[in-house]
Amino acid sequence: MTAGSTLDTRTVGQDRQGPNLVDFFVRYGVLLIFALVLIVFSLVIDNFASMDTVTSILQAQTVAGIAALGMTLTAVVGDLDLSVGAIAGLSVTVAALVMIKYALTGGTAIVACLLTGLAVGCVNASLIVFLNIPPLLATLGTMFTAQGLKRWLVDGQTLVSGMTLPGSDEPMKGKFTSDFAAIDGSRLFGLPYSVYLFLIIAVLMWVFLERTRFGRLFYAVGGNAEAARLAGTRVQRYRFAAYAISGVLAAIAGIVLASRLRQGDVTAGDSTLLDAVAMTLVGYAVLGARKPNAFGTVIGALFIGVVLYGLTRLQMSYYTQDLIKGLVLIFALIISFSLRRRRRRSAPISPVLPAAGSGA
Amino acid sequence: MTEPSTIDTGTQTSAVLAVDGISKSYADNLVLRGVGLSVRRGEIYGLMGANGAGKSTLIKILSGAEQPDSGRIEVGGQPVTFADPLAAVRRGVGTVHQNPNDGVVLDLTVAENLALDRLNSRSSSIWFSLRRAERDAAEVADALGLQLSRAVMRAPVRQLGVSERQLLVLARALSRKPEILILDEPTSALSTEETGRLFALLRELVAGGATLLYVSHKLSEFDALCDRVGVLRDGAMQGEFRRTAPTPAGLVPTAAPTAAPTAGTAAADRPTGFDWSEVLQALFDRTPAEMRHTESHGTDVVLELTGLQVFDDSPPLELTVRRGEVTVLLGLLGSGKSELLESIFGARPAPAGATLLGQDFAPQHPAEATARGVYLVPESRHEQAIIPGWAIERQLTLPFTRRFSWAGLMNTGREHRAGTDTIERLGIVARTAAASIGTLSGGNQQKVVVGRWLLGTPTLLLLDEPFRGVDINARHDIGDTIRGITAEAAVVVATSDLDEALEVADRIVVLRQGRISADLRFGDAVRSELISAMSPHTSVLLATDDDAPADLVADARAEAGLVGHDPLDLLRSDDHTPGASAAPAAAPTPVPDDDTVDHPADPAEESA
Repeated sequence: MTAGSTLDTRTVGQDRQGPNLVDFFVRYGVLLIFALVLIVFSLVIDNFASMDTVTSILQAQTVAGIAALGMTLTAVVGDLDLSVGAIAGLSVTVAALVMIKYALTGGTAIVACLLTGLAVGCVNASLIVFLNIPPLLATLGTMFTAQGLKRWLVDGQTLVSGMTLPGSDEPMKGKFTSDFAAIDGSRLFGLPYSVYLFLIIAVLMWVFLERTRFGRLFYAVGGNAEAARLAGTRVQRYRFAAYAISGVLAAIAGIVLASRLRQGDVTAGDSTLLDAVAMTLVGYAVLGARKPNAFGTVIGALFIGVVLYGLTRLQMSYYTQDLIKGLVLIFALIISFSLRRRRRRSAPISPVLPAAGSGA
Repeated sequence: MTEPSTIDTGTQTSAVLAVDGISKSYADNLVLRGVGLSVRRGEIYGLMGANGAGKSTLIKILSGAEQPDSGRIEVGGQPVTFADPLAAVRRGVGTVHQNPNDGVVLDLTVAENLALDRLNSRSSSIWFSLRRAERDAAEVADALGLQLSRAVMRAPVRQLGVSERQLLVLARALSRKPEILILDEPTSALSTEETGRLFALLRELVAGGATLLYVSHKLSEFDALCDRVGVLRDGAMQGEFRRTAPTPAGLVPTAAPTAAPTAGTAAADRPTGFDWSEVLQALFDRTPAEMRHTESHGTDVVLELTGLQVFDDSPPLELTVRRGEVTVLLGLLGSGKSELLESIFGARPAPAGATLLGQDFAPQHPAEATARGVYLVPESRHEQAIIPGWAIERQLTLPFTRRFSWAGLMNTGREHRAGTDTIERLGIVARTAAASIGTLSGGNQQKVVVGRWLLGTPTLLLLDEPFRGVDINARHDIGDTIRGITAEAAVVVATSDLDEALEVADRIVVLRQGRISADLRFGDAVRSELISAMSPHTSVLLATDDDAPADLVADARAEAGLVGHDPLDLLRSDDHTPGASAAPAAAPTPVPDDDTVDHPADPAEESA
């Protein structure tokens, strides 16, 4: 630059302060308390530190965890996808219909579920991208619709092998195939396949969001869509993709759930939405990210899973689970939003005296 | 540094706002080092300072948004502490911040915004009445001389342009009848007429007993308004300067014959308020070099527009943009310059019949434009260019993630090196390329936004108001950068500021209501011509009848003492031409961002 820059006031080491306790807590608070909870449970509960515990917790969180990873992606570009629970539930029903009512193969059921999820995801995306409906409201609409569709498809019944549908004389012959049931039922090195599925999706999502240029652009779209557009990003394509992918992941969650239930439970997936929301939002607080992120969502899933499992082992009633999830969520929200507020939003620019020429 | 011509700390008895020994540090950085100033009742005190001088921190402290580490603030002779902005407002200290969006609710209508304070007041009815809100709003708007049509009243603020928003914020601040009003670069988005109106109003306020602290970087505004000017540098006051010429109220430059414009170097000879060479020396700690550039001439045609309609009702527009020179699109708000740039960039319906380097060019999306090396630096840095919270290096590579990735995976090492290089190349004041954009000052953020496109291969670089809210030093750096890349790319700068235009332009195209009203070489550019080409601008807030504005505006400006004083009114003197300015001896005064230098010549030229 020309002489002008020699006049520039220089910025030096803003932020170069000693370790701030609040900052530290914002960053590591969730992980610390997670570790603390693990230690306390290990001491208090017999046999807590065991493979059984790990398996139970992971398996319990798999369904909502997979849905939460999709929701995380939608949260990155804009808003939470509220239809993930309904899509998972619909997917359970579709699987049951395909295998029980029509007596088709497990593979067909999986494809049908994935297509269903993709279709509902695309409906979400179209409402948001083409019809300009705010994402929360659009997905709320599809949530109701998918839930209603699920009930309507089976006349409000839970599909079980051998049952007779109203208006029909013959009992249904089909049943959940063994390969389909194996998704959540069979184990590899002590863990169900479904847990591996969850972990693989989690790793892929993390790599995608944090390490690829596409993930970067997803975050750009969520951070400032207009700026992203004017930097040449096809914003609408990214928003569309996010909701479509979320629909597919919710369908995968539904497949795992169907494999676990082995019947077309009409209430299946009802709790998935709120669990996924909690996991995603707890994820905001992990490592002080303050934004949706895949690693945080997984930690959120595990944290909630451990707390629920531990307290259940301590004879806490099943009915208190939502209460506990709510408290964990509020705690995480305080960490990510309220504590951070006290911090300076941006370090100020501080000048340094010019080296030369201050003659006065 | 020479001793300031006048140092006046003000007599304590009459100081309505006195600040003493204010220090403030963030982390281990001392931003303010014992700042002291005092403003007398009924005075307009100008505060100048380069970026990072501590101006904005001082304003934040005075408006209650930040607390000082040490020091005293006295209002009306009584020590005060402002716990929050509301406390300051209660003590009669009103502040109009630089970013108008900080002062309005975007989703409320104009009327609701104007009536917001009354809606909040405990005495107002719990029922919302549109009619009453509009009546209240009209009263508030009246204070600023705004006449609002019903349609404007009911328009959401989001639909208004920056200058209208700025006027709204002002109107709101004024409606609280502050005793001391702090204005932080209030004219950065205003047109000449609006500025004139504002100045007239500010004078009225002062006549009515109000006191103003006026922060700006436009020397002509200090000339037109201020009684004293204080210069802040490196977190400390470097001096205070008193007016050396009569106040502008009595200052209508006579057509006194003056010496040849290039002759004098004594700035004090000029009929302007302050001894600017002294002031600028305090500001920069040196006499700034003459910032004028040598005009360069365009080479090959890069962009050719034939038949682009900026507005539905404007005629097709023809424009040729060449490499090797900076083309400035000069036009007031609403002239269509942003629309034109956005059309070229594919951010709005594509231009008809455009060619880029001889090939058809009709981008339907910015992605298609950027793929062909057509880049846009948008008008609003925060709303259109920056991803909040992102590191500098990420802001830079945003359009070029493909180039910084392999098989989809980002190469963060290369990204960081590119960021570091850009910081060095553009003189961005930042600790590291990994620092968040939020840690930078406005000027440096703007450098990042401009620097982003230098990572690509620009064919045509479009910049919309690149100097808005940017301090003098950063402005020169960005100007240098822009002029520096003309060899590779054609450059179009859109601005509403004549001074900015003259600072970077080789060619000036004036746009008025979607049509080209003038197209001049830098060397032939004459202020009066450019101004008349820009035409009297009436904003939607000011528009009343078709014929009224001109008179109103003229009155307002006469009142403001702007007639014949405002630089925009004045002819550019001959000395700005490249031949003259290239020779250092011919450069009369070291005024970088203003043309006060031209004043002596103007009456002569006008009377000639």
